[in-house]
This record gives sequence, structure tokens and C-alpha cells, in this order.
Amino acid sequence: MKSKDIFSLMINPFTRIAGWQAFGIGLTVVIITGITCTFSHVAFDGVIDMHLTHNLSFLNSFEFLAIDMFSVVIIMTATGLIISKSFRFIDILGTMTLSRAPFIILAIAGYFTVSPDINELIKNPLIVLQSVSFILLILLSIPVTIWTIILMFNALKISCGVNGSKLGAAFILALLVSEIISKILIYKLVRL
Amino acid sequence: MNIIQHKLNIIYYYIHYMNYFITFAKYNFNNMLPTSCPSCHSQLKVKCLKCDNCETEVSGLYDLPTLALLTSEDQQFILRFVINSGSLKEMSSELKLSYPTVRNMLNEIITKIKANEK
Repeated sequence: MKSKDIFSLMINPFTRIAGWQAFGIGLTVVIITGITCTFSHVAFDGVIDMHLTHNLSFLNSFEFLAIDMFSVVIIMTATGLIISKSFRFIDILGTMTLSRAPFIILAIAGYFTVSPDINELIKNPLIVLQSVSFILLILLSIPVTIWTIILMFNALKISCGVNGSKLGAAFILALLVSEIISKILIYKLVRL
Repeated sequence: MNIIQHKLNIIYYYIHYMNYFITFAKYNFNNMLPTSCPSCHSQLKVKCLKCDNCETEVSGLYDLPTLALLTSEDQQFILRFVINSGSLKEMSSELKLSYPTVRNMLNEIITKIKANEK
């Protein structure tokens, strides 16, 4: 396989995988991410959000991931109903679940990260610069988040068969709404 | 001035007919039915049909069939679609593509056919 093909498969695997197959693979990766997050204390407390915490229970880790997935799937399905004539719910569910797979990188990276003490961080924000691993995690989170957003965009594009500015505008709006909804649900439902 | 104009016209016609020749050569080498005019890109019509057996020729002006107006890739897709009994699921496993990708390909062909019918 050429490097160009590998790259296109990395940013858009949905031309080959969708539906139940994508859901199966995506859910497996999400479960592994959830387990890893419990040990690495990485909380995905938002659709495109990640924070390091000092104590994260097994239940909380999966609650965050479940709320994130629920928000994305519901909002993207609603978007699909508006912008597309016909699509299958399983394609949205599968492709959106698989889109979250890159977050496993951050979950693993969090295991090797030493986060600065929050009380000291409030007193002196420059203390962040003393933790090289923390800075590396922040730097790593940028391309991973961009990769995830690209995957989510392609997931909506393939699942709904829509192109152009209509798709771009609808996706940005849907992503913002799903982020807000996930934050509200986490605030209302999750007990830390 | 007239001489320059005349020479420019010759160059123009030379380029024009070279382009025409190259396009037709391309059609002949690929054995493809040309659907648009190589000169003005308008849709071509069938003028003459010939019996291979008795060499009878029928002349007229007939529209090309809708499917003939599609690209060879699209025609191949339709052929496979019919062979697979119109099952997108079977098409996706044959083409090693996902179901929504195959459905989107079909939707694009439908859009092209509708545009050609207009």
C-alpha cells in the first residue's frame, strides 16, 4: 500500500469501513481508552476535550466517554436529518464511534505524564514549564484533536452523502452544539 | 495586416484540427463511443447504423441512449449493480468499499442521469 493510500485511509477510513463493522472496531477502541484513562487519569470531559485529573474512577471514565459518544451521535443524526435525504443511523453511529479512536493516543500518553499540582498551578501558572511531559501532552493533543475532528467530518460526509459548504457549516454547528450538550450532561449527571 | 491575419487563421485552424485529430485518435485507441463533440463539446447524435452481416446502412438522427452518455466507470458500476441484483450490500463487498460510499456513488450516477434527461 502506498503512503498516500495509508494517509487517505487514516483521515477517511469510512470509504471502506462503516456501519456495524465501524461500530464494533470503534467501541472496542473506546472501551480500551476508557480502561486506560482510569490508570492514566485522563478525563475526556467533552466531545473534543481532555483534562488530566488526580483521581478518576473507572465509572467516571466510562461516564465521560458514554456522554461524549451520546452527544455526538444524537446531534450528528439530527444534522443528518436536516442536510441529507437518506442515511442509515448505524452509519452515523459506527463512523462517529470510530472517529473517536485517536483519543486512545492521549489516554496512553497521559500515563507517562506528570501533571503539576493544581494549587501550585493557580499560584504560579509558569510552573507548567517545569513539567516537560505535560507540555508534550499538550502539544500532542493538538494534532490528535485535529485528526479526530477531520475523522468526524469525513464520517458525516460519507454517512450522509453531502458535500460543499452546506456540509462544512452544518458540521461546525453540530460539533459546537454537541460539545455544549456534552458539557451540560457531564455537569448534570456525573458525580465525581 | 491581411497577411498576418491570414497566417494567424492558418495557425488557429491547424491547432483546431490537431486537437480534433488527437481527440478522435484517443476515442479510437480506447474503443470508446464518443458522446460529445470534440470541436464544440455538444452532445453527439447517432447518424448512421450499419449491419455487420449484410452491410445495410440506416441513416437518420437518433439520440444516444441515456446510459451511453455516462462515463465507462459509471456504466461498469451500473452493470455490476444489475448483476448483483441491485444489492448495495453485495456491491460494497465486491468493490471492497463501505455501504454508504457505494450508495453515494449510486446517488451521483442518478444525479448525472437526471441532468442528462433534462
